[in-house]
Amino acid sequence: MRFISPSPATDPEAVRAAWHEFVRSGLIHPDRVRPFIARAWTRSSAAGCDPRQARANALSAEDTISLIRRGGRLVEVATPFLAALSRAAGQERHAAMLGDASGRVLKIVGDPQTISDENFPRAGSLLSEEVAGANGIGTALAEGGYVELVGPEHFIEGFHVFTCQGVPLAGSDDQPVGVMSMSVRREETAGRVRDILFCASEAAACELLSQHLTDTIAAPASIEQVAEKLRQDIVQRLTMARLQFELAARHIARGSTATETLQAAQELVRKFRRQAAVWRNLVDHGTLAAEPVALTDLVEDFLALLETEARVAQTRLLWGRAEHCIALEDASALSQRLLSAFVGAMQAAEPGSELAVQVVRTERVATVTIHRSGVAGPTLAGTVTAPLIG
Amino acid sequence: MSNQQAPSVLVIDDEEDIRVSLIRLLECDGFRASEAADGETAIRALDDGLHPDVLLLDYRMPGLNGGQTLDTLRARGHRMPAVLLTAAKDAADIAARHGFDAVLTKPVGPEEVFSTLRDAIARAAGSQP
Repeated sequence: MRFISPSPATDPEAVRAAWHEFVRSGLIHPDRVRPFIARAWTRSSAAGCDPRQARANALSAEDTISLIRRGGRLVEVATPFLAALSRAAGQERHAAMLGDASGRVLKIVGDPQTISDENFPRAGSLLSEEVAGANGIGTALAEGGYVELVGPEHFIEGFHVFTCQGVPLAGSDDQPVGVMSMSVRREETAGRVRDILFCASEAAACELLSQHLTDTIAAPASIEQVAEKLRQDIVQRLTMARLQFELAARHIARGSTATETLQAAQELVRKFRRQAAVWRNLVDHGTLAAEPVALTDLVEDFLALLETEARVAQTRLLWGRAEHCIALEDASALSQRLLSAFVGAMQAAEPGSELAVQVVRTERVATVTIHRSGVAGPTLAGTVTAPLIG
Repeated sequence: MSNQQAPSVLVIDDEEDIRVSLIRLLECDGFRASEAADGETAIRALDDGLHPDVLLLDYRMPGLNGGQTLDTLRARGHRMPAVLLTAAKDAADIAARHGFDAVLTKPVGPEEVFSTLRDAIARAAGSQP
């Protein structure tokens, strides 16, 4: 997540004066507006956006239905998160919005007064900066990260009553596929829902990634069954994150803080992303091209990835000695050999066994060993070697 | 279930974080929820007299998996409806094989869980003589 607007907004009256001056003369006082706002105003003005009135930009009802149908998966994934954001805003006037990658609104959830206002954007409205000036959706997309615009920081005067926040949503290839935003009337409310908006955008992006892993990636036949089990375990992390997120929305709606719950959800989202990357590498058919691989980190990732598999097998994977090693090998092939060694060791172990993992380097090679505990002392249960770089 | 009582659910899942979060959310929505960390514990609890209106079972668990747990419960005469919660691609096949009344595919949100559990309870109540 890139934070484009980390510094607090400057005095609204100074910003309002700067806005009037920019509209009149085209000059910006850099000490009165935040840098990303100056950039957004400049882009909006250069595109010919009218600061006094938004252009007609809504689609016909028929085209809007078609647009929403095209956004199918994104809308389907984001809708529960918009509902949770709306729940978190409680009785405050607000609108949680989903836009596509061009800034066209796909879905709005909010209080009846806000979303029924005929001047407020609706599904089908285009909120790109070129059309709607600096705003939570268009500016988040243009800047490529989280933004918050307070009152007169919006380019169009009609939006000056709102505080809007927006976050781009990344697709499975990390490119933006949409944007999630929250518009409220009171700046204090914006502060209350900021963290849950971050969390919603991250979790929604992870659900898109999860669907991609499920629907489009086929593991090599040799590891197909175990790869499918591991995919389910990764999705489990995301389920935990989703439940924590929903709990946080309910806490915030009651006026309580939910910092710890949201932090837990974000930590689970980070784990999901990391494990999804390890899993993708594992099921990749590989190029057989040797590349530097941080072996100790990879083994650590495997221990996390195999946590549930180990629990189901009623074994425990424990770290022993871990020397930092950079191996030179095809990452997918190395991952698949590590998986075979770990799974083989777990399958051969008695329930209740502990498996101690070590990474040790010699002059030319790194060796990963798995030792099974037992009354007669540890027994070697698996080994993987890899050439070291250099 | 009497009309005056909140619906009750037994959550059977080896992941403590999932159990705890689900139970808190279920209670927020008016369910009475109890938990079991594995199939064997759930079987003992039901044999000892616990009688929830519906079961919510994870599939991948140490010991008995969710399907084996349900098979054992049915063999012991426990007839309450059961909902499978899984991330498996072949969730529908697993549900059909073991006679689950409904299936929820992870990742799943609470609203879908609530409505599926309520539907399962209502269908079971409607099918009773």
